[in-house]
Amino acid sequence: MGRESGKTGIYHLIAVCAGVILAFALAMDLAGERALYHMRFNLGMIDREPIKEDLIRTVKQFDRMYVALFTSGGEYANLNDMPAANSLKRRLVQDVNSWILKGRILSHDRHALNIRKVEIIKSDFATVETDENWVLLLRSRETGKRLGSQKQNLIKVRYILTDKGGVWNVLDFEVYAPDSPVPPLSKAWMRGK
Amino acid sequence: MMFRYFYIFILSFATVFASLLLSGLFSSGRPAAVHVIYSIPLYMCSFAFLLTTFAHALFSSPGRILGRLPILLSLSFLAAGYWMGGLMSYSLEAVVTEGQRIVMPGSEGVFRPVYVGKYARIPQITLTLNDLRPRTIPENEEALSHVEARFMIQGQDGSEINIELNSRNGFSIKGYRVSIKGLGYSPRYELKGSDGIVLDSSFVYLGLFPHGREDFFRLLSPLTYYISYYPEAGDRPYFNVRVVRNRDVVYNGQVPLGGGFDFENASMFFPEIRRWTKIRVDGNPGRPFLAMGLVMLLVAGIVEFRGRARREGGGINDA
Repeated sequence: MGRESGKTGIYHLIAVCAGVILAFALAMDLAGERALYHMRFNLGMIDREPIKEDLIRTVKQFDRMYVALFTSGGEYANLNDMPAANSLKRRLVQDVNSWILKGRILSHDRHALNIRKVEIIKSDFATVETDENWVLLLRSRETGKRLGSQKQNLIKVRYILTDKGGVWNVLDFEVYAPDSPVPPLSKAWMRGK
Repeated sequence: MMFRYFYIFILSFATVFASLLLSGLFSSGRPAAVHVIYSIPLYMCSFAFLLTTFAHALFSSPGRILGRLPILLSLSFLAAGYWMGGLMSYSLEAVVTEGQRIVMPGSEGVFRPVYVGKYARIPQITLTLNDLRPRTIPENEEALSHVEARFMIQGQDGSEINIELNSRNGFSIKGYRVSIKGLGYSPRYELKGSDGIVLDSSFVYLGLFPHGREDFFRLLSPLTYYISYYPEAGDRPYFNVRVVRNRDVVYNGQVPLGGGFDFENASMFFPEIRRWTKIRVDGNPGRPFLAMGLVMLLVAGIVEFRGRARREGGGINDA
């Protein structure tokens, strides 16, 4: 009797384990190729410091290429390498083109970039808040001569970044006046606005 | 005995699978519960569970099949309700502004499908939001307690019904349910060229509640318009407006409701503002079957329990 109930208990355990293993396997398969990464992130098994450094590097690279895009007045050869979403690149190109149509270049010079806050909200969604000091100068596209005086822009910026296949990209950036508080991030971003 | 192991396997799989998906452990966000509940693996589990129950009743103790009928029927009703829900239920959301009339299902972009079953029959109705009133909590006028709304619903047959509902309770009519959630403001902008001609004008729905909360919108230009709204400020409500062209702050200032501002050879005015809420229309033809199945399961469970108690009590007396 004891051996029979022992065997029954083992078979119950096997049935439960089989169900659990199949559930895990199917859930991971449905989640896609980064399922393990997301699991490790959600369980707190991933060190966040390298991710924060990666985010800061991405923002700085984006800024460098942003400056080159505007200051070159329409050199789009390196646009593919810009760590930005296509919708953002389109907006930047649209702006550059609008200046080209007027025969002008709006050159940007960044005098300061201070990282104020890096926040990893989800395994593939993060924000970086900065204080920036930009100097904008309008030039003639043909002669390169200055048109008007420099304009200094002290701004706060919140970069919104997403991770696609292990590479961070700037999805968008929000610009605030230096004396304005940066409001909480809109929930629409997390829902995929 | 084999049937019992199979039950345990199915229940373990279904419970763990649903929990893993709902927790979002393997993804960066959580899916909507309705997509998990009506997923193919859980459909297959329900089918396997029902099939196993019938097989068990037929082959394990065929003589007692009549006694098992109530439970078999109740499980069949539950399964039917679940499958009907997955195949025929629908849930649609839309943002609606005061005075606005929207048609369901209507053209694309008006109603956003949260879930639409493959064979769902979405009612063709017209909804008009006649009035929208936010109710704040007494201690804090910025904290929203709930929202009250008056709608006029017109059916395809021309029948009209006026309903009042609030964000705490929905309203059920003719097989579907209407509910509302949230509050925001839709200012109407007028974009004018340097010659004063209106180039573009539209309502734009923004998350401007609680008052002072900022949201933004873009038109077909590199400009971004950031706005926050203060309706209770002094004599005249006003907007805080910031217009940004990438890194360049083009305009930053206060604009009264009805007023405007100049920027970059253009001007923008905000002549009026309305409130909006999100309306949701749900329908699930499987609900009556689920309800019936639950009631029958409860009754069958009580009958089974009393029958067993009588049998065990009779056994003791016979001894």
